Amino acid sequence: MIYFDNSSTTKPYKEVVELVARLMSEEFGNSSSLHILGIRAERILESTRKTLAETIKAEPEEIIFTSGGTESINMALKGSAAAMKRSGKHILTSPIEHDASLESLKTLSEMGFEVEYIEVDQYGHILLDDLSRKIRPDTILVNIMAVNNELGTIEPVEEAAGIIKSKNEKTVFHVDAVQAYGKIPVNVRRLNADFISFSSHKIHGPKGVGMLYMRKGARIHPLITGGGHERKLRSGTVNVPGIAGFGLAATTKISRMQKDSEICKKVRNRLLTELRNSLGNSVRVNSPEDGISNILNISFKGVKSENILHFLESKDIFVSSGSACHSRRDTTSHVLKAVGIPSEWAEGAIRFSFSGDNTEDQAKICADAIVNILKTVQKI
Amino acid sequence: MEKIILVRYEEIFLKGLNKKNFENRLMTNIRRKLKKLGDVKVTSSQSRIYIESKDPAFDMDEAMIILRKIFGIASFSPVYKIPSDYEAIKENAVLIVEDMLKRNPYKTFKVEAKRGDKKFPLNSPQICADLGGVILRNFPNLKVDVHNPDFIFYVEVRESTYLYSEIIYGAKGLPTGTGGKATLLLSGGIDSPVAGWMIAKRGVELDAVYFHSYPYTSERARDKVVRLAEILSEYCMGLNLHVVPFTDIQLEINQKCPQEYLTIIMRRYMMKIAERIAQKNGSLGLITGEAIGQVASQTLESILVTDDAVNLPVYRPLAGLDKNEVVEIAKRINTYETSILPYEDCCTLFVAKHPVTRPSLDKTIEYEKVLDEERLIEEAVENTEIVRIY
Repeated sequence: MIYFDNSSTTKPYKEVVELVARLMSEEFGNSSSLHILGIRAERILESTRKTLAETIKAEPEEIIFTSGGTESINMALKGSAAAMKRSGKHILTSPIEHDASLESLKTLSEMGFEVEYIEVDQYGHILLDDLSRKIRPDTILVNIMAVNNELGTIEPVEEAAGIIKSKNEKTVFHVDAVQAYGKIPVNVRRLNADFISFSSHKIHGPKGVGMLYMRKGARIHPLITGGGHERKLRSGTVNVPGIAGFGLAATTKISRMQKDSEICKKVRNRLLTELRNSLGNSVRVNSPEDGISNILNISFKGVKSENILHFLESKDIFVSSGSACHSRRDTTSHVLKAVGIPSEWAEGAIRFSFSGDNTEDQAKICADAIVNILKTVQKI
Repeated sequence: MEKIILVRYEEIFLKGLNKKNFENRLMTNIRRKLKKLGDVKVTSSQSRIYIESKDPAFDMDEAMIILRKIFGIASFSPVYKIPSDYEAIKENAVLIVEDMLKRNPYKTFKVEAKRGDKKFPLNSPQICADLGGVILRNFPNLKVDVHNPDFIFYVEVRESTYLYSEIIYGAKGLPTGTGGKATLLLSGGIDSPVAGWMIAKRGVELDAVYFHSYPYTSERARDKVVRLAEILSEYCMGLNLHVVPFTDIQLEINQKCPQEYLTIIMRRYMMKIAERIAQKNGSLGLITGEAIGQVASQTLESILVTDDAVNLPVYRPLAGLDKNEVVEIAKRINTYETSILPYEDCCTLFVAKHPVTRPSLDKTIEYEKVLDEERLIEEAVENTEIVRIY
């Protein structure tokens, strides 16, 4: 099997699976219980909180555990807008965010908030000048992702934070770091954001676990209320084994970050070279040159993404379609649309996303399979 | 007081000797569909079918959900069966109305009586009047309204007496298996399941054919068609789904035929393969979901060219319907939600930018000559996978 779909999800590390399984059977206590089983679970929870906080140079009190990236993002956007609504209604976002952000903002705009988009260039980099121009006294929230999930574009979030805070110190800044964490450094001493969202399963941890960094002093209304867990900000019996698995996955991934990045770069370059050599003008690279090394988005002429995807699947190679394209519906990816990729290219877009487990040989096998399908399907 | 179900069918279809055949088939179908709920007795008398069960686990509510999908049933009612004795009728009527009022905010009612057993001492109007009085005395908040009552209390006096207040409409049509068999070309879309349902409603058994473009389309597209076939099979008595590998034919057509004729030639091949399968499974016709003018391949010119590919009659029950009319039926028969799942089907693999809307039959046949038809069809039929769906 060749798994080139690591931005969708990753295979959990073996040690993570073992740890989660062991804790599920041995440490099943409710971390809120008063007895020793609860205390033991709480100790695991709090030591993991400390470990994860350290990975981003935050304080343990600034970490809230959630069910994943989507929940973290929903909580940061809806929760802070609700807390800030008396200061203004203006929200800024990049147009190439994940649906978790865009749909949350859509809900907010239906509730009366004004959502405005920051312009991006042809690779999806936000234009800092435009950001600066659009921040107003009533701007309560700015939302930008650290790394784009479809193109791999790295956004200048540290510079953006500087601009935001200098224009309006009350404006809250949320960064979606789901695709950045474990791939490039995320450091809250350098990144002056109020909220940052994270997910566990993108870095070889279990699914159903995520965290939200919330800078000390930031205000938020909880989305989920109940028994008052996570300092009353996120109720619900805490998933201690999953969180412990997240902690182990994060420290493992970060310790391998440099090495993994080099492997991904080699695999990416090999794939690209092979495809360019064989297909020439039938290939268009959608990802930026300076993007993250583990994501490569390419379009192929005259073939639909889904057809390539399923053909590769039959060869045991797994990728994502850059756009979920259906002939009878216009479902081209909003990201490819926002960066202005022409529709005849967009409908043949494939996203390859790598991990430290991939090899250059796999890139070669994959490229050969693609050349094969293009020869079969494209009319000569 | 025994709770049973009384089933009515439309006698209008049933003439002479046929009547017994229809009735027997309907009873067999009911038995087959209900036996999974437990021991069940299905009998008939005086053009009515009675469903009874002594099995304490038998779920009458579940049975009624299943009955709504059996063709040939005009309506049915959950009824209480009691001895034909007027004292017993009065006593049970009070108990039944009391139970009904606990769950429904009824204010008005009327009694309707039918006396099949002329030896019974009261005639129908007398039963209505007297039983109405009994109910009024026991439930002072109820009033009689003969024109627009909240509920009607029905009394049918036969060798036993049946008390009920609910009439539930059935799927109508004719019992499955009384009208031969036809083969449906089933895609994942909205139309073809509706077309199959409409023909099945007339008592016709179904088989279905699905064209699968492995490895270019998703396994989810296939799962979706299996799901649609499962929904259809709830109405008919199970069916076979023939999954035809279609990729090689598509690639060959794509390579050898003009772009604007790809779709029409592909559709002719689908018809030819479906006909081959239909002949093997004993079908007397094909069914498609075509609606005139809906897309380029469904103009009268295109249908003429498609139809020419086969000899069996092709039934197109949606020919005269608008899309929203089809959607309405799809929602009612519960295929709509599955049909709109967004997976690529075989038709999306090769789509010309401008498919011909008025194809010529002569040209089509000319263009097709380059293809090795016999081999392509033979291979496709040979490698067809049959999925049995009950």
